[in-house]
Amino acid sequence: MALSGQQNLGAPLTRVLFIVLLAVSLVITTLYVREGSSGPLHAIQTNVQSLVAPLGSLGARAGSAAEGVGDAIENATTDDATVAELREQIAQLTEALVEAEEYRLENERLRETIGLIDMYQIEGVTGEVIGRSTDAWNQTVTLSVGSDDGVTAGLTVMGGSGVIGQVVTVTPGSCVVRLLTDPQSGAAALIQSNRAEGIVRGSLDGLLYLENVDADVVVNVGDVVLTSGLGGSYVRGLLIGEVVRVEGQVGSATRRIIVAPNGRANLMEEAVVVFDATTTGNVIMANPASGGDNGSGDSSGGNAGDNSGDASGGNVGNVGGNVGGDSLGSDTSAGGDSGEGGGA
Amino acid sequence: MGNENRLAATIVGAVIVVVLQILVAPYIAIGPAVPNFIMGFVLAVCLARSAPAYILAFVLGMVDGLLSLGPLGAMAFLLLLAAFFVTRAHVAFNNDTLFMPLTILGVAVFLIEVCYALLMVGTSISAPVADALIYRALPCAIYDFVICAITYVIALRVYGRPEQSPHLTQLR
Repeated sequence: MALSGQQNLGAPLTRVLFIVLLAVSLVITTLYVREGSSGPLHAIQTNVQSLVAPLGSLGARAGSAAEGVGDAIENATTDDATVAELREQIAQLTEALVEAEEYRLENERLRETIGLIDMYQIEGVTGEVIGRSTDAWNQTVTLSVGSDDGVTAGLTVMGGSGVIGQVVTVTPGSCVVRLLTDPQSGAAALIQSNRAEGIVRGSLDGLLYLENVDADVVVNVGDVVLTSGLGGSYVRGLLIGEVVRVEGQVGSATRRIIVAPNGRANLMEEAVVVFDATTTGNVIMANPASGGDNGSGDSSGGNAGDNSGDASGGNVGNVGGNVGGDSLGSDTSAGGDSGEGGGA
Repeated sequence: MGNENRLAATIVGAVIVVVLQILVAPYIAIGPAVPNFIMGFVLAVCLARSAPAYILAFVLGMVDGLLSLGPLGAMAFLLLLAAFFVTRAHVAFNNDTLFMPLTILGVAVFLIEVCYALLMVGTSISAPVADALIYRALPCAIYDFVICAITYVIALRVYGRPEQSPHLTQLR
């Protein structure tokens, strides 16, 4: 029967057709909602998405090119005032760069002094972002690596400088990553400075919220938030972002903590699917400020291999790798650095 | 335009909107609002032909569900209902101006988005209904309405003036 062939049918048949199609779609929706993510309807959906992924990469290239053209137009029409402002910014950034380099060298010396080698060694596979979600309700990106490259559902994905999300569906040549900012996302997290644990959730307004943090924990703007690895859904110790706003007072049950994600998933840029993150360090100092540490693995035995990630990803081992840096209170970029290193 | 030509135009249009949904829609999103070309096409065809395109609504609704990570079949269900009500409203209220079809389109798009938002909140997203309406349903409805209006104007040019089919005339 042709797509719009029902104009040739009589009115009663058209009504029957309407009711039948309505019933079929309702049954399919019900089955889809009830079957769970490994059901046949989900499998069909995944397979279709794998078929259209190459098409999506075409769109991504065009979208990336369009963004470049937009930037070029903006640059070409820049006025003198903007140029002067940009020059001033360059001067400030140069100054900041020199200062940052000083801190880096100081940091390196301190680490050597106390015998800490806490760099991550991330095992993973790097893929290109080749597509975005075609609907408004799911914040996902498609990566150009799939099960052929060893990717499985549940693995953590890092952007250039932090966690961006988790693999939700995998096909041989691509995988779909649900971003942390998606309202269906949630990652067990801890605040680096005081080791307080909570859950980072996405929301419909596009912000990340740190929830379930004890009401009496002091949270400050600028505090770094890392994955805690609890529950095994994310590899432990990777950088999520930093606290940018705290609404409400300490002790208030309705306090809202807003986190700015560090990782970005830009089109045609790389992201790393993390198989494993380990440390090579053999000395881990207990964090002096970790009163509420609960023995979560960041004291002496912290780097012995907490394989809680196996629960979801199968091959996701993880270690409290950032912890040595935490005790220094200066390792805010460790996750990002190691992410790039692991991807390379 | 004869029936066969209309059918061919509808199939070609359907293929084009699916390709647009895959290739273009994600990259012309404004904030959280991603345009839904599929919805716009189905509603525009129903209005331009003044006849409910049930099979088109079902097939494209299923395609929409397959392309997204949303509940499969939900958009097909909503598009079928929309096709039915849009056509009836058009037959009942059409006054040969552009205002009435656009009003019908606007209401239909808004209701589809609201129903879809409620469905998402009920099935997969743990967020307040108000957030779902404010941050997703409303922006998407506005964007989709613009897409619908453009598609309707194009469909009118392609299909010509709608003919009243006998069984729809009986609905008045």
